[in-house]
Amino acid sequence: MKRSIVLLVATAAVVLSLDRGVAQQAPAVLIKATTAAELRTWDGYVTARERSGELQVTRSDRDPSLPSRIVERLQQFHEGVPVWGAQVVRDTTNGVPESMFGDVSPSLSISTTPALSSDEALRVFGAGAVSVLRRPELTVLRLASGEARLAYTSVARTDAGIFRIFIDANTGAELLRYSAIETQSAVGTGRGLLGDQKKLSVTQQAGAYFADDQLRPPDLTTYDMRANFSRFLNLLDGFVPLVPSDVAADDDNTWTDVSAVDGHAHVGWTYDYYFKRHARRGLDNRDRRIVSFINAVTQQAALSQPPDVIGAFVVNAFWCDDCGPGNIGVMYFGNGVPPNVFNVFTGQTVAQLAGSLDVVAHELTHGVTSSSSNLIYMNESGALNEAFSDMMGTSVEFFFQTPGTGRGQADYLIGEDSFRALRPGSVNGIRSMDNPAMFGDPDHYSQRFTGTDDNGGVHINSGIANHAFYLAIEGGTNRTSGLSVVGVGPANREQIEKVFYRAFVFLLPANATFSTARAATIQAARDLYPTNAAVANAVTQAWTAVGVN
Amino acid sequence: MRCIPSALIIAIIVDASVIAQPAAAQTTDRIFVSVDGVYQAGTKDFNDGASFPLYAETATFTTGYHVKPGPAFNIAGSGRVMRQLAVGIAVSRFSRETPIAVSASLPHPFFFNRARSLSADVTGMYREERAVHVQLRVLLPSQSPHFQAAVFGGPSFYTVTQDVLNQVGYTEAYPYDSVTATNGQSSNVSTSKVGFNAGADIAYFFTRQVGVGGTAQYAGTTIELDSAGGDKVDAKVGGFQVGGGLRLRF
Repeated sequence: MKRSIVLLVATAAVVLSLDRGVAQQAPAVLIKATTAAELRTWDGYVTARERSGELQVTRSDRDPSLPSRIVERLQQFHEGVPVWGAQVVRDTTNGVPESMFGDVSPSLSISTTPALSSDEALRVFGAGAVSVLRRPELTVLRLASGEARLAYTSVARTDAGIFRIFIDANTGAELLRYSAIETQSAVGTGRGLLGDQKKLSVTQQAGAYFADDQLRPPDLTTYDMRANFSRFLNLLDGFVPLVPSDVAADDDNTWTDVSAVDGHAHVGWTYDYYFKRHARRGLDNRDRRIVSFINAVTQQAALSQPPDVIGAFVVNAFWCDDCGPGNIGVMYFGNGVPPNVFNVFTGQTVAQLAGSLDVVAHELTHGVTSSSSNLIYMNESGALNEAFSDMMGTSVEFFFQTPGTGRGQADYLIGEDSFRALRPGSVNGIRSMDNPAMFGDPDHYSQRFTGTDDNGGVHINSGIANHAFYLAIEGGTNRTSGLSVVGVGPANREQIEKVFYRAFVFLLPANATFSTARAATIQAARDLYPTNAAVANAVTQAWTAVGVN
Repeated sequence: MRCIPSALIIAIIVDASVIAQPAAAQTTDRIFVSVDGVYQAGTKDFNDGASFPLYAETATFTTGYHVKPGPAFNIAGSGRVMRQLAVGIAVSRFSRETPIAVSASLPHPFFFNRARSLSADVTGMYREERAVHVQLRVLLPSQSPHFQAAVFGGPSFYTVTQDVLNQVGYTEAYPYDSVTATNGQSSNVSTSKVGFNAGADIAYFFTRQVGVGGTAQYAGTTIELDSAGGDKVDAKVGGFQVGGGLRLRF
């Protein structure tokens, strides 16, 4: 009698709840079959539901360790709607079950007609999220209480992280959410500024891809400001924390944002250069976190910005040692301006700065300097700081690119892939190491800038040391002094790179002068190549040629 | 399978020529047994391979299985059913190590068109060929009771067990410019296939019932093994065998 009452009440509950798309369902059926008797029982159960279409094979795999076995994954559907997590896994040999495990819901009676459309559900998901990473999908959700609900599910990125979220398909009320972050390294692809296809080391999380390199030793992340300039400034100032939703992302791992592609790839390449050429582990030689920012200002929005914003955040890239939450030190790469816009003074247009490998390597090298010699960023030490970034930027180009004068080729121009001559008579790039005068910079110490602009000429006077580096490799004659240098030759550029790296990273004091740099590089040459006087001679002649004694 | 009738035709043709020699001595024994050690000649190398997506490019690996020639064991028995015709059955077993040469091309995670190459030799992999040969034997007439010769042929039922490499194991570490081979995943596959056998046997009997003999035969077929790439790969089985051993007749 008691049983009848219970059944009656249960039936009434089901009937009453049908209109609401909610039902108190029978408990889930747990399948664990490994013995012959169990398999006989459950094979019949599963096969019957397979024939009715309630269970459908959604995946079939051959276990490599047991090639004769085929593992089938059957998904439960209720009136064509998948029941979330309701699956049976059947392991067979030649169609004969060897084991079976599952969790399905019998006798679902829930209505599968939602009151909310998919678009309405998308708006509900979007209301509480930074972005919705997947189109809402209809599903039957089994709650812990035993209820079954018709629900929409999606993955959304919020300020608190990335979540799988379920909402009631009739009311829009949230039913369940859980973290969808399952970190896994992945390799994506994308085309950079020059149309070249690059690989990107990224992270896969919850079906989306993020510019967070998991393959290289340090945490190497590219953050996309998505034109939120005020947030970018707050991040630079350390007023707000970096959150996962700031990381540059792509849904299909075929990346289309030029700054994301080139910025993320080129930072990785620069890390590789330091590791392979100098056995250095990143910024501080201890794999300190490397943080890059992009897209603070779009190219289109750049035109409406005040000049100081354009100069600092549009046609510029920088390393800021004290910026970011916790003063972690960050890099930023501006997006440049639309291709048909040019600077009336230089005649150049400016494309995404991350598209220039030497620019990216230049900025990262500032981080290396700040973690090592920490050359004071003014006057001669500042010029040496800038010069060392140009030297390493160019060295990275020659490490990865073929020598040449075209775009995407290694040369002694700085930033030539982003700063492009648009007006006749203008030139590509912002500095030249083989001919600093091309951009009005001195190639000889006697012509050094002694004013206070540019922090005492840090970018201007870098030309002197840059030219010494160039001459030590390529050889040639200084245009001002007329002195000739026998360089080590392009095939031996590694020698000069190592000499200047050792001197600028390990030997120079923070307030080094050009003269100190001369002495330190000559010493480094003797340290590294004690039996090869040609290297020290090339370095000595190069400094002498540019007037540094 | 298409070769089996050919073998029978050969046997029948030989049989007809034998019948045309009435002057020859005829054996009266009804049961013939041979126990032979044979040498299976020729290599039965075969290749497998697979490709799969890796780091936005395609990785490939090939495996070359070297099935060396070697000794085999063969026992045959037959019973005379007509004057010069006997039917019998033989069983043979051949087991050899089949070292595998692995080569692979694995894309670099950071750069296009800079695949890392990997090569390795895998040992400890074996093949075993077991066969049951049904034989129609034609007893050739001989002028001497000490000599006995026969030609034979018929279907061979092969069961082959082969260790196959399913996955090439490797490790890689930053900066990922090279890869190091490690243990791969192998499995032991077994398959059966019908082939054919044909050959000749000659024996010298010291006594009425015991002697020694030599045999030369071809027995083989082509099997299909599950490829690491998911398809099938052909592998030849058996081959030309020559050897000798004990002969008994009753």
